[in-house]
Amino acid sequence: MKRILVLVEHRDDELEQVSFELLGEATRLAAAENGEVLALVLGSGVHQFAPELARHGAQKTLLADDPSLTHYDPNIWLATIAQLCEQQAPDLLLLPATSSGNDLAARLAVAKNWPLALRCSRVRTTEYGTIETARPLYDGKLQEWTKGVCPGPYLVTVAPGVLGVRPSITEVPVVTAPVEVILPEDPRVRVTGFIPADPDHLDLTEADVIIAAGRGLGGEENVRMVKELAVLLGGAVASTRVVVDLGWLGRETQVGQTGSRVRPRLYVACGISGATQHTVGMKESAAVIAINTDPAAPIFKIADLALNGDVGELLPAIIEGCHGRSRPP
Amino acid sequence: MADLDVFVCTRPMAVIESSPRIRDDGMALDPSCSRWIVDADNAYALEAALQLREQGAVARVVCISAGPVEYDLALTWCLAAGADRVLRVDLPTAGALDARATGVLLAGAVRRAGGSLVIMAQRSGDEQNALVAPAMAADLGAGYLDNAVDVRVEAGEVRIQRRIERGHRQLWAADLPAVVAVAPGANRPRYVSVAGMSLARQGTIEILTSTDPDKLPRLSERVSLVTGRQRTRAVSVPAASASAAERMQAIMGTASKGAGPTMLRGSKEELADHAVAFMQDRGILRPGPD
Amino acid sequence: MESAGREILGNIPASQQALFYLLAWLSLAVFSFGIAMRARLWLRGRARPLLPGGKPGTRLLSFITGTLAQRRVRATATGHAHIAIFWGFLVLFVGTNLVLLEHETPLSFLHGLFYLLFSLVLDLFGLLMLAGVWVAARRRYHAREVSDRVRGYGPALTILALLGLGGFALEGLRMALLGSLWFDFSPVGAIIARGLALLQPDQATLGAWHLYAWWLHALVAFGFIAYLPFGRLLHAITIPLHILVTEPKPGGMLSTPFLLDEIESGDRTRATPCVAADLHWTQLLALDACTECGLCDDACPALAVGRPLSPRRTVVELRQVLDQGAHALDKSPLADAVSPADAWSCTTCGACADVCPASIRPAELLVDVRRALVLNNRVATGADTTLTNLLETGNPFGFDPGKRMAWAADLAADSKPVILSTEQGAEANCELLLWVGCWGAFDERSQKVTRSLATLLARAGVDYAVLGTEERCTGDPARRLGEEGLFQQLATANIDTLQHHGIKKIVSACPHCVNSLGNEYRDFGADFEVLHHSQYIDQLVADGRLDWQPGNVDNSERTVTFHDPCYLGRLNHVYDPPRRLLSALPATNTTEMAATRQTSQCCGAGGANAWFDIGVGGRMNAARYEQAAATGAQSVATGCPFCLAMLEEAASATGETDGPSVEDLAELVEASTVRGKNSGSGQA
Repeated sequence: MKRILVLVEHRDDELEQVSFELLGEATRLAAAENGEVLALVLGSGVHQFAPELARHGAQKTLLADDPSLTHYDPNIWLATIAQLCEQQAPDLLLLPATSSGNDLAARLAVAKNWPLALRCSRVRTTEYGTIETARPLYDGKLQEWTKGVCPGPYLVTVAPGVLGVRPSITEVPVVTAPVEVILPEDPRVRVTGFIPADPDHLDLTEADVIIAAGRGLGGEENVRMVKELAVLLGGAVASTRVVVDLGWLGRETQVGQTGSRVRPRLYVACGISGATQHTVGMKESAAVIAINTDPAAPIFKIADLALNGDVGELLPAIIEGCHGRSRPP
Repeated sequence: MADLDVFVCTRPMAVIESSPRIRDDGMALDPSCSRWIVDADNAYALEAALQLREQGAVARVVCISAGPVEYDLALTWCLAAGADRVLRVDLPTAGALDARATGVLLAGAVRRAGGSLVIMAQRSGDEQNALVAPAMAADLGAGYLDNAVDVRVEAGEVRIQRRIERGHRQLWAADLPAVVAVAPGANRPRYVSVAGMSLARQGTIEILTSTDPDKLPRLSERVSLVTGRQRTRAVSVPAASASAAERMQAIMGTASKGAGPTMLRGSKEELADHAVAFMQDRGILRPGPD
Repeated sequence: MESAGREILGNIPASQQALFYLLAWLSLAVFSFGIAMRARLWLRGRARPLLPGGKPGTRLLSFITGTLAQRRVRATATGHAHIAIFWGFLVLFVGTNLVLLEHETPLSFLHGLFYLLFSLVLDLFGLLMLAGVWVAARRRYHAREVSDRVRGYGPALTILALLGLGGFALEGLRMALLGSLWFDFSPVGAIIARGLALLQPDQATLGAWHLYAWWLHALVAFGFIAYLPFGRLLHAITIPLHILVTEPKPGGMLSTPFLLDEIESGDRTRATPCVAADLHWTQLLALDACTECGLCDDACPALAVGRPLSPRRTVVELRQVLDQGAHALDKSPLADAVSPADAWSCTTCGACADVCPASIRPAELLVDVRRALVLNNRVATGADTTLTNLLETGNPFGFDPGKRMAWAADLAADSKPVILSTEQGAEANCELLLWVGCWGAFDERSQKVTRSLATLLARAGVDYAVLGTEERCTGDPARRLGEEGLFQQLATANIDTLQHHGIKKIVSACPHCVNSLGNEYRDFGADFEVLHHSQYIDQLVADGRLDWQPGNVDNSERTVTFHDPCYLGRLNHVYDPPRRLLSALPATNTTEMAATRQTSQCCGAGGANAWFDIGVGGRMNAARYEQAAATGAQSVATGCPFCLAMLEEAASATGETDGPSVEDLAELVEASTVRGKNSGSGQA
């Protein structure tokens, strides 16, 4: 491919890991024809990202820097990027499969009649130079290869964590160029506001990370350690029915047979025995860390990491280990 | 409340076994995989529409689908859940059209039925491209509202809360006509009883004929369909007798076949290190200073 | 003595007698009209054969104990007074009709000794009735706080008092007028007559007074008869009638409102949801039988912990629909008359039905409300997940059905059962089938109970089998939640499996399974002999297939108390086998909780409450565990996996370590028995 454009994802003044993954993939794909890899950043105060993007493979960073770009706005993004793509004519536009990336890619595809593949796992070029993309169907049980049938940049979104980050290069020139921001008049969709999440009341069913408090914590005063770890990891606090009955946490935190069913990326069970009434609520978790002093506790049967220790001692140690390495809350 | 109908685009999904069979030409599922259901993602959309009706924001809930007669049994579920009407645009087979074409087809049917409000799933359970909604919106000249977890309709305006990462919400609005994609987990779809399903089978599904499907615009086309690799989730944890360094290395290595973890014991620092390494491997934590 | 007798209507002129009879017929007509109008409303309910099932003997027995002995009424505030009024009135009523017979028919029996005794008995029962009225009236008029309901009994009490006093006055006047040698056989009348004599009235005056009194008495009586269907005393008709038509089925057996097969084959479309379509006509009759005595509220364990449930209020709310007439019955949905929160709060423990003097079953009314809610897609939050799990995996937890035999992994080799799902042939050829149940298969704690039971069976040499992965949930949670269609799907599938293997006898450690398999499945063509494990182990011990260990395991004495599970005890009347087993445990004393046997208090898991949280009110299991701890016992034994889980959770939540431990009977027996002399004798 001759030119690949990568849309960069950032949040709270930090670049998201997926941006590096996409740049790495773009570098790999462009290597065969010595193609150009461009990074595209839309936001406010984004000049600071250029050096890091360059280190991860952006030969040029296109910056659209404007206060109106603080939050994702489909009208502005669509108009700006459509014009940019008309000008730059990339073969491939790689976007993160995030809420804004997927939304933008779909709008762009429909507006410009460009081929689109959402949530891809692989991209390849055939010997004829056609781009083909692979997507998982049915949670990965099937895989579908598709190709575009319309001319234009191929729009591909890839989910975070699929591609993996390649090592960065240290000595690299930083080249940037500005991008004209287009603010459409009379937008069809109006962005009217923003509600930030309340870190004390994250929805259990939406949380990526859940720290759950069990009887083994010993007392209500130890629950604050659970809360501290949750806030540190940007996660939510859960509990067992016994803990709710004891009054340490409210009923809305209860996970289990008569509480919520949750499917986080990570579930940390602190001092929980793992009776059926609780595990039915969290057995769908992608990964489970269990901490309990009783080696025969049933929770260990479903844990991915089994730590046989005192949760009162372990939690402070874990909290200390997480400091400075977590996502900002 | 105006005499407003809400159209819910519903796409039944084929249920496949853990080892699905591909057709000989490698382009589609073997026809024997033909049990269709209306899955959870579509249920969120229908539930949002039913709640709008209960609030009095819309008058009727009309489910609309494009596909073959095999869809009908699954579409009965919509009647059982409380839809006022169920329409199906008849197509000879499932999956013949890509998402863009489907969107245009359905948009035409909605337009002929006089609809101006469309709700559908953000994505379908078999992970078709989430393109039908924006395609419909473009064809109807409608505003497209994406990933909604809360939908309000009032005085010709649709307002949504849009879910983005980290639990934040954006507020979007559009005047009718509008197409809304409902996010998974936006609500709690109502349970439909077995007897309710049986009774619904006595209802009717209205069949509509389609414009020539071959004339519809497409953006992409399938090259092949293969079985995928399942991602295993369990991480093997080595014996407690190994050194701390060995253990950490093993944790960060590749996944095992899920034989269950070995119990880890040690000092609180050692155990905490295991936990932190585990979380880093999962992308919950950034890499620490090495 | 032969001369003793009575002239009937002696003082009444013929023209007035004719008027009397006319008014009598008129009041009867009004009475019949009133009953008929009400009955028309009852009959709008769902139809079923009039007196289905049950044994004729038991129906008569419950009629006698319910109506005549009024066993349950005695528990109410004025229970004894009520019995006095009832019997007093009944005897007077019979007496009046005998007088009518004597007058109108060729029969003649009111003379001689019979008449004297007749007169005496009537006087005494008249006094009894007035005594009852007096006690009730004191409560009505002199108690500090009187509810509207009690206040409403004013008119009825007044009429009864008038009838009683008027009747005596009439008797006294008659005796004064006619004179009689047998005064003292009508003692009250005699006192009145003698009192009148003091006034020295002449015959004409006496005659006039007698006539006035007679007319007054007649008019009050006719008024009473005509008024009866419209006031509080309707229960005098509806309660006996309801007891008579109520099917004496096991308490845990819910009705079958429709057959899924009929709906699927298109034979049946559902009527618009409304009270009339959703309730059976005997239930509508039951609404009119309620006197709002409140015994049900007193017995309800959900109400006791503060849940928004009052069985009495439910019946009253539904009766209000009835009062609004046919139109309301045919139009208002059941789920509008009763708040869904009330319906979901019920644990179907059956305490309300157990104490109701009118044999009303409020819990079943609430299940019918749930059925209506489910058909309208309004399942309680949390319960929907359970139902979906049942649909998809055949167990309410949502666990992999292929893992149903995981509990047997830790069994000793000689205890492993025959697993029918892995056998080649269909016929089981075994003594009995052990029905493991979903808790016994999937729950860690209950798996231990299953293993104990399996070990016991093997020890006793019982040739038993398990269904293995072919077992599915009996459907009990589905039916309690009102998802009747899913219940029937599961039931017919299980029945097919069991019949396919030729199973005749089943034992289970779960009373809910026992109830569904043994009682409810009968409506679908099943006829299995189903025993709770306490009953079967009791038999094994009695047959000598298990023997108690000699001496003590350790020398300490311990005390055990038994918590009667609702679905074993109150709803299926099995109280003694568990107690026999516990008494026979070595080095063990047994003690009873204050609320025990029939009055045992629900652990809170029934009515599918184990699967969702109503979110309001205290914990029923905590209340029950406290009662167990109060006995001072070291262990509370039970025979149900739900009770086991709930009580253990309550124990854990108290935060103390010296409360009683919770065990299942099977575990206690397994620890204390050895192979018996007659083990393996294969006697079923």
